[in-house]
Amino acid sequence: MAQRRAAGGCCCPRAPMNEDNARFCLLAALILLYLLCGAAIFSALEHPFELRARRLWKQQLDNFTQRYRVNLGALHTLLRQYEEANGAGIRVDALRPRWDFSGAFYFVGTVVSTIGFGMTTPATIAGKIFLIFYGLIGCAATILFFNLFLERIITMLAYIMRWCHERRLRCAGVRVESSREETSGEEDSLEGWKPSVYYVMLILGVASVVIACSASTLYSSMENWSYVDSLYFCFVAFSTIGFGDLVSSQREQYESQEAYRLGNCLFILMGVCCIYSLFNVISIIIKQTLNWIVGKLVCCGRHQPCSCSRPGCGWLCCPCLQNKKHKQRRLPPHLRQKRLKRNAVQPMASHCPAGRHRYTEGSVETVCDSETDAGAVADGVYVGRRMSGEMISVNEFMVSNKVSLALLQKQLSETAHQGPRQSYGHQNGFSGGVGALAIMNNRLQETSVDR
Amino acid sequence: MKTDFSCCCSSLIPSRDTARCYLLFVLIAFYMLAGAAIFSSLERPAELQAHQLWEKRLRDFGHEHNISREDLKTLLLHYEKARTAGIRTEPGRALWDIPGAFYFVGTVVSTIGFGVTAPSTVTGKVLLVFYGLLGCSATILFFNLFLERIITLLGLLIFRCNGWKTGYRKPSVYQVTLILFVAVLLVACGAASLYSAMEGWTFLESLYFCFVAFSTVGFGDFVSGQREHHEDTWETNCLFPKSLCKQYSVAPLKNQTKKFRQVNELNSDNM
Repeated sequence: MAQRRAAGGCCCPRAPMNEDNARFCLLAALILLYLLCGAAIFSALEHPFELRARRLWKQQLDNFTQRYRVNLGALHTLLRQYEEANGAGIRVDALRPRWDFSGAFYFVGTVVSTIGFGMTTPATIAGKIFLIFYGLIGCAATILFFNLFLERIITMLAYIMRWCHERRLRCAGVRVESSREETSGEEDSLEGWKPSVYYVMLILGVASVVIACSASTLYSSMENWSYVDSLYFCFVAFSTIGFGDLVSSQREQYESQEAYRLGNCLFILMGVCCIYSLFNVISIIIKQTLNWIVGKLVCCGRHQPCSCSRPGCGWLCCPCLQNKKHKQRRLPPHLRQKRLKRNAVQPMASHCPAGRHRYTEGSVETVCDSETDAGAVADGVYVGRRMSGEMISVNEFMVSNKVSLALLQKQLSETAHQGPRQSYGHQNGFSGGVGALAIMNNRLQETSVDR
Repeated sequence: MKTDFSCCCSSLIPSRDTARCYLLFVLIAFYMLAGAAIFSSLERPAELQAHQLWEKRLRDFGHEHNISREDLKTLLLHYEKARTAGIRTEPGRALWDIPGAFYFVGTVVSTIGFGVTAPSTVTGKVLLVFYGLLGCSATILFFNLFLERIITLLGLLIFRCNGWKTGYRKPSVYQVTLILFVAVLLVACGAASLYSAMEGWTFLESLYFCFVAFSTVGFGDFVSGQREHHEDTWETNCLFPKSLCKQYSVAPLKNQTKKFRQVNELNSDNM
């Protein structure tokens, strides 16, 4: 085991911050940089237009005051009153009522989905106060709905993949053992079938484009917007940004009004679900990229043998180098228990350099979890954590090594019939869920047992 | 035989997870219907009043200055177009200088989207789509990582407060929700007092603005930092990201409690 450590591991000097904080700060810095670049580009694009619009408006105002010999002050007062009326939803062309039932329903929809166009806003004090409490619960529930939607999509894709694989096997004449006795916990039967992040991103991307294009044709015909404007509106609404410069279904009369309103509602619902899921999936890819960057920064390509003096210290701080040799293993239950006890935090300052907190229980994702991303699958957690630099004892390493060899053989024999559990199991980035739900998986008491 | 039968039936009965999804959808639909009814009853009288008031003002102005209604409407239409380009009667700050553009991209990536500043050129609109795809994903990731850091930190603090007595126990979702709630309240009250002092809003309006902004709804009826002269504009803008993170963290925790309740309901139904 000594030579194993020397061969694969390396020792870095105690890092000033642990990898999770480093990743967090790196992300903050990158976003700030992204914002600055975006600001510069948008400013260059839009500023000339703004100046032109100001000049035009000034000209129109001057023309008007001259033509009708109106006092500019009085005109300004009228315009200010018009702004006030705008806030109440009044426009020059008559619009649909804001606060009849269907208008209020549209408003409530923009609130709970957090789109927030702003074409309808509460004017009374009571409305504003009620909105705060209403929105707290509504927004939370809707965020949960979107997250569950993404989870269902991934499950459905896994089902399809398994069905395709079995069909292929059946066609090839191999007998497929029906592994469907477990009616409870579909998760178990789909264990090895989680689709790859890139695959899901592709599917969600295609779905979003299809929904956006069909919605745009509807909007450009009903609202008389240009097609680009409709696409822009679709993106702004579905991403829940919701500027409000363009809002659908505001005019008083449309042909086939009810059908249009229903179509509007459905399109926005499906669009937000797809784009929100797409954002979450892209964020997984960004996280993997961050992990890679942080890994490069931390490891800096060092390959020296471990210089930790303590014999019990298996300091694997550059597991990237080891990962290729490790395959994801499922520890048998009694070993899992043992690891649980080991991971129970005791201040083991004598063993570990202080820079590496043992109580980063919460941080399952450390440097090289690109292969075990969000590794909060019940058993995957422990394996993932081991690969990402957790301290392990020599004994346990040996034992688990032997056990895993047997397991590996068993799984290899299963592979022929049940599908590539290994290859899909740890390369998908979806283990443990997506988004905010994944973060909290296994980090809170209530989420540690179930799932 | 038996497995075939149960397999056949199980395809009709949705799994627990799918049932949970449907149940949530139905609950949200009812919630929205109820909310629509309540808001409608609260706000409709005020809307009708505002309509009447505006009609009267328009009529009076037309009579006083002897201008036909159509001409006034033409002017107001021009003004509406000017509004979408960001012009207001009160001389506001420039919208698309660098600080203004920074505020804009901030509202984009956080998906708040006030709408005070919105791209008018076609190039700007197309660029926004691609910029937003990457930016919003990164910001969602940022909020999620923030939540993770907070939970880790809280777990640590709770562990330390317990005086190392018991072994490390993960924080309970209720504890974390409570602490985040209190933190959000503090930040909101602090921000609201700042805004009411700087923007001339009432304290209640500032609280309302805080909620609308931090929850990323972002109506745009109240927007901070739009007046021409602003001391401490940067400070107000920096307050934003912190509070956003906190608000965004509270919501997923509520999701967990909701999820548990639903799962418990479903479980108890099964039993």
